[in-house]
Amino acid sequence: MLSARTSATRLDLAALAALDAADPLAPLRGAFHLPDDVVYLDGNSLGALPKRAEQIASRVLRQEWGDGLVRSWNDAGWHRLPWRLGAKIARLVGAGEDEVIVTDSTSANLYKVLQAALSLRPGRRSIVSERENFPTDLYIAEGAARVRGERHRLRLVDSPAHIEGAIDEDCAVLLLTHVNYRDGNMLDMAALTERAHRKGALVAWDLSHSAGAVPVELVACEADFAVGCCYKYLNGGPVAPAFVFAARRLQERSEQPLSGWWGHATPFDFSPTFRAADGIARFLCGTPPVLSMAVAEAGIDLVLEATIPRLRAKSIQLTELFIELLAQECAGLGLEPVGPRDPQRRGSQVSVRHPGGYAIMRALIDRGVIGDYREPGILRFGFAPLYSRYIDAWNAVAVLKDVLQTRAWEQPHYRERHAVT
Amino acid sequence: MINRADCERLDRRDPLRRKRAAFRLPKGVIYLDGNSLGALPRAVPGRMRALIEQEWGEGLIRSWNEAGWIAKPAAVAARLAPLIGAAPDEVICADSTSVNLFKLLVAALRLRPARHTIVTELGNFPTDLYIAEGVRELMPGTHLNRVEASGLIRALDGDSAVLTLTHVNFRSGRVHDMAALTAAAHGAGALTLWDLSHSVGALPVDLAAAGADLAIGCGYKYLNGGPGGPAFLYVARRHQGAIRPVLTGWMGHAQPFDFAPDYRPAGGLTRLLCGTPPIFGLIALEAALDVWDGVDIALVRQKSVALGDLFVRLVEERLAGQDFVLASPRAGAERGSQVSFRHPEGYAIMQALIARGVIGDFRTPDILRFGFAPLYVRYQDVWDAVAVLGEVMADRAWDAAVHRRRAAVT
Repeated sequence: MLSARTSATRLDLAALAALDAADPLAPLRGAFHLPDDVVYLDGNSLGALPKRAEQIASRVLRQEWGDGLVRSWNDAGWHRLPWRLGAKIARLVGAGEDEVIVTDSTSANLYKVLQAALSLRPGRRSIVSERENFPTDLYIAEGAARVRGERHRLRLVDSPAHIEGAIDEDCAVLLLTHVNYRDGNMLDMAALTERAHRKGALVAWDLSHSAGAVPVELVACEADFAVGCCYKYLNGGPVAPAFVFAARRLQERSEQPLSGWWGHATPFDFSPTFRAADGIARFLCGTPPVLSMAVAEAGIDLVLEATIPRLRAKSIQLTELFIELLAQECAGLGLEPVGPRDPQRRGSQVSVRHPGGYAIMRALIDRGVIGDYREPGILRFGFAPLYSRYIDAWNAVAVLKDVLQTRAWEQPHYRERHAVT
Repeated sequence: MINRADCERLDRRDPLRRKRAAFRLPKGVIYLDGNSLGALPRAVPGRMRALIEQEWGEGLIRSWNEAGWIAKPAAVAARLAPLIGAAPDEVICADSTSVNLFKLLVAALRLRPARHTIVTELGNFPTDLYIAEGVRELMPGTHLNRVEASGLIRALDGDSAVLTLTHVNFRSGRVHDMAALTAAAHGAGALTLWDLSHSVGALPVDLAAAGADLAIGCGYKYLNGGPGGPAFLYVARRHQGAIRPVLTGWMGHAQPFDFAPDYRPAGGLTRLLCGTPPIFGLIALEAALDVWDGVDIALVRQKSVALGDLFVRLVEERLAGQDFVLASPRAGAERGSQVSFRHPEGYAIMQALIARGVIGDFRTPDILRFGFAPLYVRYQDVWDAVAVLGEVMADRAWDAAVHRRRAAVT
């Protein structure tokens, strides 16, 4: 349970407003459209709308599609979008600009890199991951192993502490999400990659909850493969295509079975046999989704403008203050902290557990404080430092305190489950 | 001889003539490439603006439930199901055509575990061939038999798991006899998987009547869903319960928001979803499908054949002796909604046409391809396009360096 805050200085709204006034990133909030009367703490699930996205959409629809029609593949540069966005994301995850490309969904991209990794380690038959990994990663890994026959399998460990011990001579690829979706725990990418390599295994990192929020150094960590989502902290919109990273040293040897025409060396030769493109392009498959990709660029550009070090500094301060506020305001109200207390080991979210978690989150959303709920009993609050304010942390905690104290969440309609949580 | 006034008369009598106004088409352009990228339906930009400003901007994460985003893959697919002779619960929208083909080829092989061969046509659309190669490499013991169209039935044997074909050939426009080939495949114990990318919205397709097992198709050609928009896939109801998905992403899970560590497939076609649904593309496609309300696909086909016949006739009459060789079936019944001609200078001629506002496309090695999307192409467009082609040939406008330079995308 949260214990009462003992520090001498009590946080108040004025102190937090002062932090906003001094925040170097504060002007960037103006680049987003945010609804009035909402405290949005779910940018880790769906990022907010950059105002420029509307202009881009209008241009792509009316001029490029409407007037340019099929000519726009060349004239408006549509065919280069996967590379152009990939090169921008590369700067956010410590990769070379020819090592990242934008295409398909995170799940589909994960399938590609897992198959590429399994093919690169033909004598090994397991994928190792964490039971607490994001479920789609586990499902995809299960499917990737099964299609190769009975002897391939997915092996899961129960806690991050057991990862290293599970990397053995049968492990072809270690699959990890860098920042855990439930508790925000951030793994040590450099150390775990090094351990895996020492045992001859490759590593695939899921950066969905990292890209645009925390520093990632794929090349410096010698990561092999990575995938990630563009609609969370990168604000790409519902539902922007995902990105995929393959280290340059592995690209020419990487083969993946979703070998569609856009991954061909010369797709417009319409040759009947497949020949993989050089470099990262071999991870493309079908025709790129132009509308969503063009729109996604607006959000990515804002992250680049803010820069990762400034975003990380603000993210740490936001999450630290939020945890302190919870202790100060909500002690004794039944919330249990979840995830690391050390900000260096935490992503850009704070999670707390309560037996009435689902209904409490519904009551919060009803009052304009939007976070989300994850099984079992977890209230998740994401801080997107591009647009989240310090006073948002205050307001969210104030509403949470009220919902808990008044037991407003116990109204029956808050228990009805929606399709999406 | 037919003249332009005759074409205008045909337009005035065209029962589909009012549909053209539902599209935004640029002035000074004759668009004969709707078989590659459909034109912009006027309803789409307004709908996308509402999606961005209200559903994303104001609704944010709440829109998954409140704006019905989570139901879009099935809901949008239900709108196009009547165009392919499918029941609403036999189609779902997801991913790209290539990704969907991958899912269904693996599913087909798993439905016929004692068989190991994928049979297809050598002239199939390349991505279909490439994906089949990817499946062959992935699944131990799988064979890929690529044969000429005339040898397809002979190629079916006791090891054939699935016959996969594109219904309308992308180069020639030739239409396969779906019912006959499906019957032949079934006779050999194989399943069929049809790529409807060049069929849906262009000619009547009746998957149920043909007894087809599986199908995929593109949402941005004759369905006008926008560049690179989501594709669809079809699984006959009788197979749905037995489908074992290969791209086991969370959206295909029975209870994705339980966040359970083990995969358990959803019922029906939901199990063939993979990642989070591409809402942008789905909403654009949904708005584009409004155009089809009240459209009789038989009338679409009638007009498509008439446009194609007119084009063939005009090219052969007015460009006789200019080395154009018809590369499509002459009989309208055997042709999709496109007409292709070969010419040794095909690439440069097509670039010269595009420079003069007649947009078709080029396919290697020497094919000029003209698509006739009957909802917005007029008979007078066919006349005018041939007239411009005549000018380009008469003044050798194509014979310029600028028209020989290859662009990245053709």
